[in-house]
Amino acid sequence: MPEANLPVIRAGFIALTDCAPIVVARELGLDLEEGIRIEPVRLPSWAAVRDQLAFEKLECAHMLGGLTLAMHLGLGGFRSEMMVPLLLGRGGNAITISVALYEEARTLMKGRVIFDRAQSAAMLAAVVQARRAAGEASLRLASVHAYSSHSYELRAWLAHGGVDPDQDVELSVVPPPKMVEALRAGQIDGYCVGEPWSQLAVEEGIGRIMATKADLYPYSPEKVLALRRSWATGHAETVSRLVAACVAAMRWAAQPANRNALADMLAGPDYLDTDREVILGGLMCAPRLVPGETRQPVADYLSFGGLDLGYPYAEAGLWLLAQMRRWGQVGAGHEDEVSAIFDTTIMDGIGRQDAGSHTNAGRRMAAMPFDGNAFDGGDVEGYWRRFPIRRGA
Amino acid sequence: MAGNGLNILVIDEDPARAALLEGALVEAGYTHVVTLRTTANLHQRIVAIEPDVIIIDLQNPDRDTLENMFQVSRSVKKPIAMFVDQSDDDAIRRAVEAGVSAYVVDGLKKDRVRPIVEVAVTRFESFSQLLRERDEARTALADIKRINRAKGLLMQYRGITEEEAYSMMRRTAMQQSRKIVDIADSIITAFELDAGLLGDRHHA
Repeated sequence: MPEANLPVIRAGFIALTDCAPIVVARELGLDLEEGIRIEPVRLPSWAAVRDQLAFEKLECAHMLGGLTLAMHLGLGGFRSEMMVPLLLGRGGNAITISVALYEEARTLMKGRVIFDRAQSAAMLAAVVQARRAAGEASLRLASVHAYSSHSYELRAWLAHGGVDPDQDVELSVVPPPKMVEALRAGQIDGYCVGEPWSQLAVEEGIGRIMATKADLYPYSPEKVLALRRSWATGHAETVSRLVAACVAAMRWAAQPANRNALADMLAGPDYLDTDREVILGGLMCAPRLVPGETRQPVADYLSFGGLDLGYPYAEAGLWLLAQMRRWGQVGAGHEDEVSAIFDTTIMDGIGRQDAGSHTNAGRRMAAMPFDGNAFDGGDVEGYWRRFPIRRGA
Repeated sequence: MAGNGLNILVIDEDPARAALLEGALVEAGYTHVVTLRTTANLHQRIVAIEPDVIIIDLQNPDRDTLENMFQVSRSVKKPIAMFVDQSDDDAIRRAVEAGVSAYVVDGLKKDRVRPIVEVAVTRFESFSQLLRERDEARTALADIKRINRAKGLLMQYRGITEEEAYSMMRRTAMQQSRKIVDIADSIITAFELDAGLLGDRHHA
């Protein structure tokens, strides 16, 4: 079929390394091989992605998992029934603080630094106490959205280090590509964001990575492929082709041999519009954590697995729901609704040859929590209520 | 007047569009309209203005920051939510199409907000139309310049009159079912290539 006659799928995305499945599918023509044409649409904010997806200016989007739940549950204004047939990768987030804040903490702790990244928020606890005693302004930290995994990771890390994210610091939201600029301008003291915007601050010598998603919740979900349920229902065959093209793209992106080509592709002006070397550190799972120091291997820092990792198991949604419950963003009793958003029928249909490997995904997610609280998708309420610092009711 | 008492905040980085919208709102009877061209110190400005309705360009990169401010900040006294009238899906669809997003104070009657959003949508639409027309005019002007240049080259190197040069181009365009400006481009490219080759030979 000539390319012009293929069904066009407009795919919204934000300039982040994990938009790769959509970009790779288009750039390598994996979409055409599946008989569809993906049209990537870069947008400046998650709000714009949400609005354009909800009001049919896009067919699908590279989306925050939590925001997808929020849309479905009607939080923040409007309701749009959603469907997630694929998770778009894993990891990629890091918590960065300004070099100045790190030095302030180190001085307060008389040079005693915490090397265990999962525990390192305790260094900020020292700053919080000192500033409060001196009547100084509180720390200002940013994530990318209230319903983002970044917000949940930043909050969990702070809480585990003895810093109450609502009482002890000022949390705000800054769009990912503007994070480094906000840190440089001194508008914020630190942030949690996806790659390449953590590496950029380190490469520019203004930020220092304190913890990564891999140190906190390595198997928890990250971006998802989000669709309107009404569109997905009416276009089952197209959705299946879209997912197949993205899965093929993820398999390609997961190959170490393709990292250089992937970094070049993402660095282009239509996508991340940034230096390929900055992108590469994350792709190699060897980010530079401290300005001027060598890159350091961090297992699972950022990965695009194939079928296993993209499999939209219900626990991914329930994990996000548990975070929303913990921080008082939603009422109780949405477990079934949320599980239904994460729809495994498409992946089951296209991925028989890899079946079996993904059944452990939920179990892996529960294992080895950095905060000692094991997640159980069957008991969301019990899970978040075990945290000493929580907002839910 | 419909708008009496409502504080309207317009946030738009495009000064021309912001002025257009502010003028239209005032004309429609809304007397309390404040326009911000940048989102610098947005939080303090919103606390000071206490808007009932905020109109912001859908593509503004600071919308996530703005929405979060409404959700969590204790200093923004009036709770603000995104304006979505589920009973009037078409109106919202049109707003998204036009690139308008609106936020309103909770509890504000939809009937009072709808005309404001309507004014914004209309102005955004006519502004895009203006931009399109301006771009078309620019393209047309650029086309004329290129046609004139090709004509000049033909006159200079073939020793023909302006009229002959133009009719030669028009004839070729008709024969090949192409636009006359495309023929002009081919002529310019051919002459530039020729000049380049001559230059190379000269240096060799």
